[in-house]
Amino acid sequence: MPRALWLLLWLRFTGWFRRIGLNLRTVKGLLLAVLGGGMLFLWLGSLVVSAFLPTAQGPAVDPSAVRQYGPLILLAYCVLTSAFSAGERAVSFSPGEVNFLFPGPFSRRQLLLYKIAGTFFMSLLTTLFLTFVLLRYASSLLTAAVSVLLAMLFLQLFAMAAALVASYAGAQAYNRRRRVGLVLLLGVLIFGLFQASRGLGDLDFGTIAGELSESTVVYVVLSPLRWFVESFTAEQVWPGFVVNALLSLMVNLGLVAIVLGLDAQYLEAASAASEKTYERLQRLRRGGAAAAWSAGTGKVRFSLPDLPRLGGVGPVAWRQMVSATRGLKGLFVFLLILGLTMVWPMFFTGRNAAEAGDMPHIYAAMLLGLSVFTLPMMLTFDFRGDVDRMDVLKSLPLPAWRLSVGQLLTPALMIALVQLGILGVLQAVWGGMSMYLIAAAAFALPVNFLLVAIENLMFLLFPTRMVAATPADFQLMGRYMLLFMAKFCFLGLAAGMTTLAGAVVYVLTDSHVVAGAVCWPIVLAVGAALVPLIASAFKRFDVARDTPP
Amino acid sequence: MSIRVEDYHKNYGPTVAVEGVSFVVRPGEILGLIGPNGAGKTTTLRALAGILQPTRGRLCIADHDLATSPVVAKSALAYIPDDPRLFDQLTTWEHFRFIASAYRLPAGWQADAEALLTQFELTEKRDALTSELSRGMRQKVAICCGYLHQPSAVLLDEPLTGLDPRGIRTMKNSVAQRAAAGVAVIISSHLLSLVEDLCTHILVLHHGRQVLHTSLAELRQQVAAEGRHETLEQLFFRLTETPQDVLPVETGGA
Repeated sequence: MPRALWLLLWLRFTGWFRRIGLNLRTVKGLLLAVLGGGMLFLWLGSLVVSAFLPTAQGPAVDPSAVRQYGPLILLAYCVLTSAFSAGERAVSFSPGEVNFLFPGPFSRRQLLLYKIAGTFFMSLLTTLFLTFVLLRYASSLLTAAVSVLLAMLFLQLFAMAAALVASYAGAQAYNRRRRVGLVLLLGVLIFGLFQASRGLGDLDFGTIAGELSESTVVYVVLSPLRWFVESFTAEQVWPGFVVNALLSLMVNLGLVAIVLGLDAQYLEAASAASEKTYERLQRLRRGGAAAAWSAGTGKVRFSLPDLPRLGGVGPVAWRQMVSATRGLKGLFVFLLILGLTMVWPMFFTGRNAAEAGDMPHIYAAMLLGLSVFTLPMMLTFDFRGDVDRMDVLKSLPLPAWRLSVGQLLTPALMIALVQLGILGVLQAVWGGMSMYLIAAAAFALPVNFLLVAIENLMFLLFPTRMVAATPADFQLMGRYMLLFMAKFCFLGLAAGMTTLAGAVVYVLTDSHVVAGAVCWPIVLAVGAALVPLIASAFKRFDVARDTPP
Repeated sequence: MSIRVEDYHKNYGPTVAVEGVSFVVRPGEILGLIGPNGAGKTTTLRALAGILQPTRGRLCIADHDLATSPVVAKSALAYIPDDPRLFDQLTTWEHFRFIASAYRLPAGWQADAEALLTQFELTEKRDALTSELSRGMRQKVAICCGYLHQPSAVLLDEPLTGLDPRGIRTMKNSVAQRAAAGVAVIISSHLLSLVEDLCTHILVLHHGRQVLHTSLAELRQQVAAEGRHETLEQLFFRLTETPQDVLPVETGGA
């Protein structure tokens, strides 16, 4: 690899440290970084302590279980990487790399070596974290660190090799083959699940995984992956760890040889993929996870009718609703994943309310809790998604409080609809959810308005992008920490006041409906009380100073 | 020959982006690449920069074929895209350090880099992170990076975007200076006044096809001979609205 590419790696590495240092120059930045760094330190510390404490009695987890499931997990990752590589048949390059390296005096192989070297250094950082996370499953720190590094490299190199093989095979054929392959794979999966679901009462996951691992085809496919897991769980350095680690290294070198040997014409695909990824990242930074998956291009198929003006609240909310409905793809993907996690355990549970027992209630509580914490962060169709349009918002001829209400309505409404949808599905599957549905219909909007209001207040006070600008962005971690604390405080306050008032009224009247009717305006009042604070924070937001980098 | 394109075709699946474009830019010549949006200008420049693979045809930089000797060909080339993306974590000077190393510049390149910083008024931004620079400043950094290794062929895609009036003047002067020193330059731009001021030749693309390639001097002579008193802007609209009118002036750019 040319010296220039080593220099570039070094400059980027030092630039990363410099960026972290620059973020610490303001009091706010320092405070957030200390909070985020402290949280990370405590988390890592707890992992280290929990990993080292049981080592006197041997590994905390049965190594045979790790040996059984580990290769399957690696295989699943490889299959998913190949099948769902987001249509990007390319090795990943940043826009800067495309601009400077592709027209630069470098061969394609040199650029691949540069990517492999960069991958190795990034893997070192990931290994540092993952080693502590996975230490309790390994026999020692040495086997964990080396094996995790080798496995991380394997996953990266496999993805790179798969992308280059795809480029080599040719875009058209590959896409068609991949689609056909995917359809076949899905068909086999559904058939397998259907077959398996007949006798699930007799078989546990371990038995299924065990039988799968012992079939000849799977055994052969899993053999190279097994070496990574064997070195991870090896109890003796020699021969167990050394031999398996060397075999794993050989697998990685084999992948490097494939990558360099193919020397496919990847530059064009990589350039297009880089552009696509860059645009998605920009959308993510501007508008959160849902916006990242929203259609950035394409034909507009529908629009929403105008809302009543309501002193300016209507048009502001309408604009966000239009953006949100055009970004429904992201929400759909999230709900699909959520739905699949819901459907799978249902096979193990009774199909009616009597057989299911408390399960529906546990599910309802779990899913609603999940929606309360994840959806407000995903659906950023409010001030957070307008981080690069604050100047436009400030120029609107509207009082700040009306603008704030208009901005908060869309995500609150969408989250409420999702929650009602979840309860509707549970009602359709198990029944017995009617009380939850009535309560959710009444309380979902004010509660979600409160949640979204807290998120927006924190954003306006501590403006940060939705994703980290650099790896290990302690400020972002600090902001999330602060956000969770504030959310708990406000929610605790609202829940405490509401519960107290509801309990008193219920004791006096013995009526759920009257107690609910008293609680409802209290929740709404807490949410409404935040609007002047948000309006004030919006007025104080200085576009030149506060817009995050 | 500094830049030679022979029968260049580029397809994206069934879509034809560029169809049978051929031209030569000799040392000292400045070719203005003009055409409506989607005409294939950026596709042509990106192929010449080695980023896009031609579907058919031969592209050469400094007599080196991009398909067979890409590294040597690219060593002689500078490509400045319309929206230059830099390395966010690097400073302006660190970009220069990388370029100096990548193109194996001899010792003393720092003096040239300092001169470019002065010429493009970037001296104060020498140690600034490029992510903190304005759009115009980033454009200037990209231009300086392109010029630093003294290429024999320069490809500029919309080079004036984001530049202030002084930056525009500096940019124009720098292109003229390099052409005078024997560099072959291609400028893709929608600014016809820029093309008229600066270019020696023009190439008009429309729907991926080459509808006119000639020297500006010849074009002026021909227009005058036909008694048409046409500006470049009027000619551009005539060509791109009724391209069949072009046939009498398609000279091959000699």
